[in-house]
Amino acid sequence: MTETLTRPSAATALDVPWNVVVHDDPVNLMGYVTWVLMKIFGYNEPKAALLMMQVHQLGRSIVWSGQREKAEFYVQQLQLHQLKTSLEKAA
Amino acid sequence: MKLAPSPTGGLRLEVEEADDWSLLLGILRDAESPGFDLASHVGSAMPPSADWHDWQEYVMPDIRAGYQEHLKTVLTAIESAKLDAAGGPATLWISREDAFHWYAALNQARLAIEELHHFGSGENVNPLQLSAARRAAFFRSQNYLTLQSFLLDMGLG
Repeated sequence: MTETLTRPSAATALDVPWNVVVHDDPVNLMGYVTWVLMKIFGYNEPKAALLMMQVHQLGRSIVWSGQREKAEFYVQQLQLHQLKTSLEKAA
Repeated sequence: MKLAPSPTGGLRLEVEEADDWSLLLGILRDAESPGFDLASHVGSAMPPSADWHDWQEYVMPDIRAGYQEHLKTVLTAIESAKLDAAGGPATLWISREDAFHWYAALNQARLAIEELHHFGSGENVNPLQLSAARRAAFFRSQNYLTLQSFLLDMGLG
């Protein structure tokens, strides 16, 4: 069997995942945060509620990881829905 | 003012006196409090970088426009109903289609009040210990919260 060695291209190497992070605030209602996560990401209610509880209890939650362009889109959508949100490179 | 579900799945606001119009228009006044920029607030956790400057320049104007659209929808609904009723008692209908605009406008108002007064969840606030202006802001925020809870229960569309 022939083994094929591949070397990641520069573009691939730079394409590290980006995290979309939602931060806690004392104003947004828990039901609303759950609803927003379901609406924007299409998550089912248990998953959205779990992420919402992370935000509430831990102060923040990574709600999505992936390609930067898409992550920026999601951050914009979450901020449009008035959730405090940031974008960070995955560790 | 009274709140009740409408037969079509929306919400009905019974405006009973002139003060109720003032309370409703207060949503807009609070949301547009001088010195409060909601787009900066929700982006305040973004790490400062060159990208952040681009975000402020290219993305935040769209976000601000989105917020303004909510306020405009709500202001139009209130002013139109007030005009029809000549400032007297009236029924204001919030359709399911407009529920999110209302929720978002109320949220802007509550976020602005929180930025100015730091009431937190409100659980530990004793209104009797607040100055008159802060007490009024606290009660407005609680009223907005009540309306938001109704809208959330009804479904935001």
